[in-house]
Amino acid sequence: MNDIFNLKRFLNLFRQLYYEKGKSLLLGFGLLFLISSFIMSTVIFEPKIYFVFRWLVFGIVVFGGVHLFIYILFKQTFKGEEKLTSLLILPNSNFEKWVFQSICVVVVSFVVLLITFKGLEIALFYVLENYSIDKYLSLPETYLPIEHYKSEVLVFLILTYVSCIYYMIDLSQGSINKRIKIWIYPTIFIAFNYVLKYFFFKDTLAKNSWFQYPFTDFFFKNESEKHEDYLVTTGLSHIDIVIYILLPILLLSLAIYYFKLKEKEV
Amino acid sequence: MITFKDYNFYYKKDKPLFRQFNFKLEKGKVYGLFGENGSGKTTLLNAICGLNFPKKGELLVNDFKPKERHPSFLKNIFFVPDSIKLPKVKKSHFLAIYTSYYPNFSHADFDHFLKAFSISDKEKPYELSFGQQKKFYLAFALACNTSLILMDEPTNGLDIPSKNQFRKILASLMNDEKTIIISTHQARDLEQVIDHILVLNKNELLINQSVYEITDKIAFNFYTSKPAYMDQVVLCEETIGGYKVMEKNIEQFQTELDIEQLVNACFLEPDRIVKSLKN
Repeated sequence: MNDIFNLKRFLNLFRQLYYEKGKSLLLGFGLLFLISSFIMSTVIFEPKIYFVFRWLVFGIVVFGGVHLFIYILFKQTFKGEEKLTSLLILPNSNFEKWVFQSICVVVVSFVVLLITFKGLEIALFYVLENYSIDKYLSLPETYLPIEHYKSEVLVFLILTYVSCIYYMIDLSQGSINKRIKIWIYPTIFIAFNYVLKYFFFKDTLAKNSWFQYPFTDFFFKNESEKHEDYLVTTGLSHIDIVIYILLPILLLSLAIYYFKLKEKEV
Repeated sequence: MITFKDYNFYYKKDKPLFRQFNFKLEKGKVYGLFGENGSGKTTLLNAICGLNFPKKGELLVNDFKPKERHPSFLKNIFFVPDSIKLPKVKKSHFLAIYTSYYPNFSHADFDHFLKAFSISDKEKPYELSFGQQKKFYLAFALACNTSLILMDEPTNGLDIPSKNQFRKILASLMNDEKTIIISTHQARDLEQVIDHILVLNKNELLINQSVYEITDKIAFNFYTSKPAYMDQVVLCEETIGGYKVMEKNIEQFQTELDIEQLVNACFLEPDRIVKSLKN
């Protein structure tokens, strides 16, 4: 018997999650679908409003959605002494439990983020398809110079860290460690996107890209060109790298420390 | 089988819970673990199944270090906590998830225990009352046929017929390879099945002896009047119609162990108890 990893044993953890929390998660996805549908209807019927408030929508869906899912997972699966005891004495290896917990959070965060990005991508596509370029360019948010884009990034990153700190210190909702793990993965994913963009997608023509990276924006090579030729512009300074990549990695290391279930006691 | 070697544990460094525990528990017995509230009974059970770690010293269970929580170790123990809340899954799903972890699980035993506990064959066990959920969980624990079963207050919430059934099941399950450790305040519920007594008192394991060894050295008698000679008396308690007396077993006649009285004496007269059991 492999004491480190056994696939059958590992999959049993997912079976347990599916049987116990499948309905809650499906409800969560349903809720997300409804919100997305609402956004799409706004996009189609009120594109101007959508253009102005889409980052707000993005924030609500991403932060709210990710939090909702992870809340469901942690609150109902791992939180509380009874559930923790039950998890710790389950005959799975620490590695399996650790990977399972991490995967749950990673997959859920990833799915929520991707659904949101894809939703926004489709929304933008509809807007660009159905809106004439002149009208589009006349909108205040349409052409985003790099500096403007950076301040937008900063606002969201600050929001992320403030949220992290808020949940970390909000002891009424659980211990500091529990707060960290709720926000760590969304934060890491945002940072990870930056790494990807920085190394692989810098100034890449993204007309066939099927999702929009966070905090990037469409803008045109020149105003006469059509929307198919928009660019996704990226690029991070050293300070950006420290703020957006190194700090989240530091937070990740804290989370990994926490997730070392073998250290967990009741 | 279970070895505590220079074992120390505390939640706060300045308030040690266990100091220098050195003892062994052999397999094939039903151990009764007793102690006052806060004496560390649950903590000790948690330690044995790897839910907390020694601060100093070593703890070995079936040659494993519990703190490492190896699957090979965990699949051979089952812990029944005091408070049980079944997961919100159907019975068939519950069995599908959890039986795969325990290779010796017997469906026939499980059905038999459920019948013995008069649990209806309900598809949603989480909708049962607390006592019934506990019985369901106990039936599952016993049907897993693990070599070590740890139970924290197993009879809490059980009705009288179920307690009787529980005793019968425990007695029928015992063999040389199985060990059961029961922490309880309801000594009378399990008096007939426990064959080894462990009493925790003031950070120490005051008693670690078999029922036979105890009753060989101490007699539990009832007198209608107070004994005239108190030299051999360990504890004398006035009760309805007379006196319950614990005294040195000079006549070498084995009496029935009164666990409640013994545990009470451990708190009231710890030195005398230790002295009596040593002689």
